[in-house]
Amino acid sequence: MRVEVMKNVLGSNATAAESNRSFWNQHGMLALDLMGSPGSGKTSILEQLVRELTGRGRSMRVIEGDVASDNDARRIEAAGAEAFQINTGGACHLHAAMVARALQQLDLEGVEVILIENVGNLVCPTAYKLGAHFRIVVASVPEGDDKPEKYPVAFRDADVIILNKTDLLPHLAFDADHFWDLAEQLNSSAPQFNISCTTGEGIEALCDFVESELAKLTHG
Amino acid sequence: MHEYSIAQDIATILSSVGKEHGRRVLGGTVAVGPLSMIVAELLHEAWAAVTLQTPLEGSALTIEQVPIRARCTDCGHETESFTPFIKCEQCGSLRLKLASGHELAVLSAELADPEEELDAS
Repeated sequence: MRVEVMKNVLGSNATAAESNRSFWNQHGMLALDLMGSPGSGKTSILEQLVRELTGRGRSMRVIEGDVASDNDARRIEAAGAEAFQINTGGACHLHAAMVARALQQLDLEGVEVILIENVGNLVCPTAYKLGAHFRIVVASVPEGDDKPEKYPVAFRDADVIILNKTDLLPHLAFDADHFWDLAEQLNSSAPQFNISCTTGEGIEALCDFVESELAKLTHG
Repeated sequence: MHEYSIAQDIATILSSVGKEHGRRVLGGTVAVGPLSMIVAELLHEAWAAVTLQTPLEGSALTIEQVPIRARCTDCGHETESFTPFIKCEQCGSLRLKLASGHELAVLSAELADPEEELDAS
């Protein structure tokens, strides 16, 4: 006897992600989920965002995901924002429920932006949505210009694409046009940013983007 | 991807369907889209491992690979693909709206007939 089931296998994560999203919407907070390889510069970008957005008078919290250590949370706190470190113990991605628990631990009074750094990985975090308004994929110049071709789903599913460490372009055989052409073939709608945390290239543009999306969220 | 934990989630869903109907579960069918990044071979392997010494041991997991379906926002044509690199097969545009491709869902369960239940007991 065959019975119809029609049930999403990742349903419990999807439900938790939806509840995170409605919590953020209710409180007028914009949430960003950064995904990228280990060493792509996610934490450095967050440090820059924290400094620049704080300078613009914005209030934010950062949720850091790593297998182990609180190194990243300490870096973020040094940059000037309260951070909560999630240690997954071994899991290669954050679950929406882990983020929900982290939110309960943070003082969210007056907070406008939630920045989440996912575990360094370009496969698993794509399947486990956290409810963030924007999923940002970060690739960096030393990783090679064919990254979108090797990890197509991460680039196709992203809402924003960042190429980081552009200050290294003169020193490495990285064809930025080729990188962006591949990214475009997979995802022609995601805003694109070239960023260098060393020279500061692109940080202001990224903060402008965050502020304009925050304004859309809070003023309809 | 996470074939083992996903196999475990599928087993939980199928067991609860079996319990709901008071029948033994003989198997189930799951839909898998290319953007779910599930590898069928690994999922079969994981299924055998997670169901071992459970009431689901020996049950058949059928994996139905479903394509990415994308509608062109320029000409309206619908293109099907099994790879994430898609352009409109009609006009070549990259501006596509995905209608499917992320599937990872239990579609149906195969349950034992009441007579079989009697035979088994």
